[in-house]
This record gives sequence, structure tokens and C-alpha cells, in this order.
Amino acid sequence: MNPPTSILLVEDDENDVTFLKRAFGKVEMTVPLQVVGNGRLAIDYLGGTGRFSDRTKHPAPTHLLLDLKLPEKSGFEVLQWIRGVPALKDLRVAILTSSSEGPDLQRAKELEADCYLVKPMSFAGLLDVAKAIDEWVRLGRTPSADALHPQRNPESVR
Amino acid sequence: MPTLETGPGTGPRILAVDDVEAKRYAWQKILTRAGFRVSTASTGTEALVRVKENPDLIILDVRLPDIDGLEICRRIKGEESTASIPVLHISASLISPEDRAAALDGGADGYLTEPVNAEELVASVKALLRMRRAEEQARTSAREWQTTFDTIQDGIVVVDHRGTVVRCNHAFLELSGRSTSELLGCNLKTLLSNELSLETLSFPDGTAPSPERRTAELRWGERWMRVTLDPVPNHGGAGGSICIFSDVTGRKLAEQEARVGKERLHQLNTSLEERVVERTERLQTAVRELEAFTYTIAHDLRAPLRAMHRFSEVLVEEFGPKLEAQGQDYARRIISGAEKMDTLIANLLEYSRLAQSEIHPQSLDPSEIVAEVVQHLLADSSLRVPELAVERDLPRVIGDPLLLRQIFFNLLSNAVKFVPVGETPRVRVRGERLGDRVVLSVVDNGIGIPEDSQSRLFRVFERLGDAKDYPGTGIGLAIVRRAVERMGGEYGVESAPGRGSRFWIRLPAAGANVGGRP
Repeated sequence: MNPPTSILLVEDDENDVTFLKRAFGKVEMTVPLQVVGNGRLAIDYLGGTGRFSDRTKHPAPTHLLLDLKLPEKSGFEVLQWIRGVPALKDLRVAILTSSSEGPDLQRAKELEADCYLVKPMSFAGLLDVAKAIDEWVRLGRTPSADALHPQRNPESVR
Repeated sequence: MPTLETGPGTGPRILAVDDVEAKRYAWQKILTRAGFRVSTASTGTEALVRVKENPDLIILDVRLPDIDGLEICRRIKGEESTASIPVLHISASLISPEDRAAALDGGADGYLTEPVNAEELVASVKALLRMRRAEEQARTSAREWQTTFDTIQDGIVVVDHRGTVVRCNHAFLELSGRSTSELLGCNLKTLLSNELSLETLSFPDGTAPSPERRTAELRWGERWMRVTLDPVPNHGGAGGSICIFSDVTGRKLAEQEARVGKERLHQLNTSLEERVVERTERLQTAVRELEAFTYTIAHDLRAPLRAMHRFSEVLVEEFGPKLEAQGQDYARRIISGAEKMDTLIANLLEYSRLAQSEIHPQSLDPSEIVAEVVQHLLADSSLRVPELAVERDLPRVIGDPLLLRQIFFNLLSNAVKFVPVGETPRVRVRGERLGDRVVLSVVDNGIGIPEDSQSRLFRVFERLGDAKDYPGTGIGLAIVRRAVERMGGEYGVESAPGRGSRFWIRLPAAGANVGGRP
């Protein structure tokens, strides 16, 4: 059997955490959500080390929502570390970042992120993102950046 | 005194001198018949006068009444201008061998004793003339040779097999600062040993001469000489050499200068390279810093904006009823401020990235790109719905698809945006191929632009119109400018207030053989 789905959100901006939780509430997402505030903690959590060694309290996530600009270790450093850990090969990773920078997109593609989501400005936009994440986690439907965030120059990772 | 001069020919001229008229007559007759031109003189005095006419030969009677024939001969031979004229003495018989010897000693070239027979006279005259011609030729070539020898600007020295100077030209005298007498008979190597070293040439020293030419460039005081030594084969003898001194100071100096110049150039290049490396490093640092800055703007500046935006939304949503109309208006203004700031950041990033991003020129169909952009614009509910007329089959251009898209996005959204309040935007897109270029235009029925503002339009943060009615960041046309420039094109605008505008860009046309359609 597949392990029960759960999400680890790596996000240092408390406001973003607040709004994402609120958005998940609005779309009635029930998948458990854990939050860490920097890259170092994300690695500790995923590795089950340090204060995250108790897997009953800190279950290993099936999905990761990863911000890129993080204290201590960047999102890409975390992702690169993940790619070197065989036990994490099934972990699904979504980049959730402020801006669709070309080089960031390129790097995300190289590190085989499953999708690349741009944080929308408005809460209304964030609801769309939350819905897409819910579908991704529950139904395995990978959101396309296009559909989520119609930009002037839409770019998707895959 | 009348002189007989007969014979029409062009043969050699002969002066016959004799006091006896019968003899003059006889010689004249014989020689004229033989093809000579003959003039005569009957006295020594007259002979000396006529000799100035420079005859080719003189037949001179030894015994003349006024001046002795031998004496006349001496005078002729003693005078440089006449010395080469052959003199044939004719004397009476019974002359003593001593007299004959004396005549020849005096310079006479031939001697006949009477009776002179016609054939003998003609044969003697011809022999003497042949001799004279040969001598003259020899003298001429000697003169020519000497002149040549002296005219040559290279110093030339002829040495024998021991290296002794046999002869040298004028240039060498000047070069060495010595006179002919100082040089002749001296050993050239020894003579010049203080000034230049001829050792390297294995200069002739009496041993077997080298059969080959040898050359060396030697320093001679302040000057440089290219010295060439050529063996002169000599039948039987040991043979000598011709030594030629060519002054190559000019070339040597030029070479030296070139060498110095080259070194200096090398130094300059090296220091230039160092400077380029240094500056490149500095530039790279600056670019890295700028990239980090851009990254920070993109990520960090947006986070507080999102918070402002969303909290305001939530505020209205949750506390709306308690807020009263004015409070709600303020919240909406916070939202719109945050949105504006977000657009501004996005545009600035776009603009700064335009300068750095790589471009991929290719054959493009502008119609496709315009269609895509129009779709986006129609999806934007904040814009008024325009009447659009896009010309069919816009000519293909060479450009970068992303850049061309940015250009049309900005031109078309401007065209839709800057329309008098309450009017429907009417936008036309046209294309025209002119030679190897394509002009694409976006024509609107907008508010138009005063001429004095048109030049400022394409600069960053230059805005048009009233910010309330026509919101914008003032970056759109700067993006157009940069995008066009990066594709090697031109841009411009034609407009007047109230009469709409025509923005145009000019890009390289896609040829039939560059990608695209056949």
C-alpha cells in the first residue's frame, strides 16, 4: 500500500504560510501539512534527523512544496540534496516561488522538479494554486504553470 | 685656299697632305675611287688647320716646305682632341731606317715609302681605320664601364686572389674616406681591420678562393653594410673577387624600429589584455551583483506586496460590513497600489533581462505572434475590447520570437489603452516589405502624442497621458526599444494629438532561403 499522503511546506515567510493554510482551508484540503522555515530544517525533516527523528510526530512527506529563496540553504540546495538520497526518489516536489525567473525555471527543470508554481499576488489567485495543489496531491494530477498563473510569457517546466 | 673635296659617299674622311700637286691629285683619285671622302692640304700650316675638322685619317708627307711632317704628327698626337686620328706617313724613297723609326716614334701609325702603289695605299688606309675603330670602341666601352663603375652607389672593390685591391669605384673611395693611391695595392682586409671585420666572409688570403658568393651584414662605424664577395673566375690564374659594399643602414634602422615597435606593441597588448581581464572581472562582478539584486527584487520585494494585497483582500472579505464604504475604498486602494508595484517590478525585471538574455534569431511569422498577443489582451478584463484589424500575411522577419512577442504585447496594449475615455479602440496591424527589411506598424485611434514628446517616449519611465485615465509603468516602450535594438532593427512613431499614432518597427526580412516557407 502507498503511505498516506502528507505535505511538507518549506517556506520562511510567515505571511505566505498563513495565506496558504487559509487557502487550503477554503478549498477544504484535508491532507496533513507540516511546515519548516528554512532549507537546513527541510533537510533535517526529510532525513528524519535531529528533532524530526520521531516519525509518528513528523511523518515522512509524500509531497514537498519548496520555496526557492530560503535562509541557510536555498530551495535548490535542498532539491539537489534530495536527488542524492535514494530513499527520497518517490518524493514529489513542487517549487513554489515568487517569480518566474528564466534561470530558476531552467534549474528546476535540471533538478527534475515535478512542477513550478508562481506565488500569485492576490488571495483569489492563491485559491487557484491551492486547488491545483490539492488535485496534485490527492489525484496525482500535475498542475501546469500555464493554467495556474496566466502570465504574459507563460512558461512551464515540462 | 681652295680645297678639293670630292666623292659623294659617306665613307671615312681622309685628309691628304702633300706639297706636290700631282701627288695630291693621285691620292685623291685612288682614295675617292675606293669610296673615301678626301680633302687635301698643301702645307703643314694648312694641315694643322684642317685637322680641326677631325678627319678619320691623315696621309702626311714627311717633307713639307713650311713645317716638317714629323713635327706636324707630333702636334696632332700631342693634342687630346686629335690624338686618336691615325697618321699615315708617306716619304720619298731612299729614306734611312732611322728616319722611319723616328717617324713612328713621333706617333705615326703607319709608314709608306714611295713609290706607293694604289692597292697598298688603300689597304694601309683601311687597316689603320679598322684599328682606329677598334680602339675607339675599346675606349668607349672603357669609358662606359668606368662611368658605370663610378655611378654605382654601392662601394665596389676588385681584389686579386690575395685580397689586394686592384681597383675600386668612386663610391668606395667616399665610403672608406681614402684615396685611390692609399687603396691600390693594399690588402683590403688589413686596411679596414680597424673599422670593420671581414673575417666572417673568409676573405681571400691567397689560398684557394671560395667558389661561391658570400655575404654578411657588418657594422661600419655608424652605418650598416651588406658586404658581398663574388669570386671572379680567371682563366689560368688564381682569380680574384669583387667585393660590394651596400649601405643598408636605413633598412637596419627600420628593422630595429620595427623590432622596438613590435616589442612595444607586445607590451601594450599584454597590458591591454591585463586591463581587459581586470575590467572583465570587474564587469562580471558588477553583473553578478546586479543579478543578485534583480533576484532579490523578484523574490523579496514581492513578499511584502503579497502580504499587503492579501491582507487587504481578507480585511474586506471578513470585516467588510464593519468597514463602511470609505474603509473599503482604502483597502481597495492598498490592493491596487500593491498590484501596480507588482507590475512595475515585473516590467523592470523584464527590461533589465532584455539586455542580458541570449537571443535566437530565426524566421518568424509576425501574424502568429500578433494572434497570440491579441488572445492574451482579449483575456485581460481591465482593457477595453478593441476593434482589431490585422493585415493578412504579414511579411516574415528575422528575429527572436520572445522579443517580437514582447514588442507586440507592449505596442498593442498601448494601442488599446491610450484611447479617449469612452471610445472604442480601433487598432490596425500592417506590414510592408521594403528591400531586405520589413516595416511592421501598429496604428491606433488613440489620444496621440505631441511631437515634442515623441523623442522621450522610448525612454524608461517616460509616461504618456494622465496617470489616472491611463495607468502604466512607463517601461513598455523602453522594452520595445531595447528588444528592437537587440534584433538589429529600428523603431519610431508618427503621431499628432487627437489623431492617433502609428508605432513602427523595422526588422530584417526573412529571405526565401532563411528557414520559413519556401
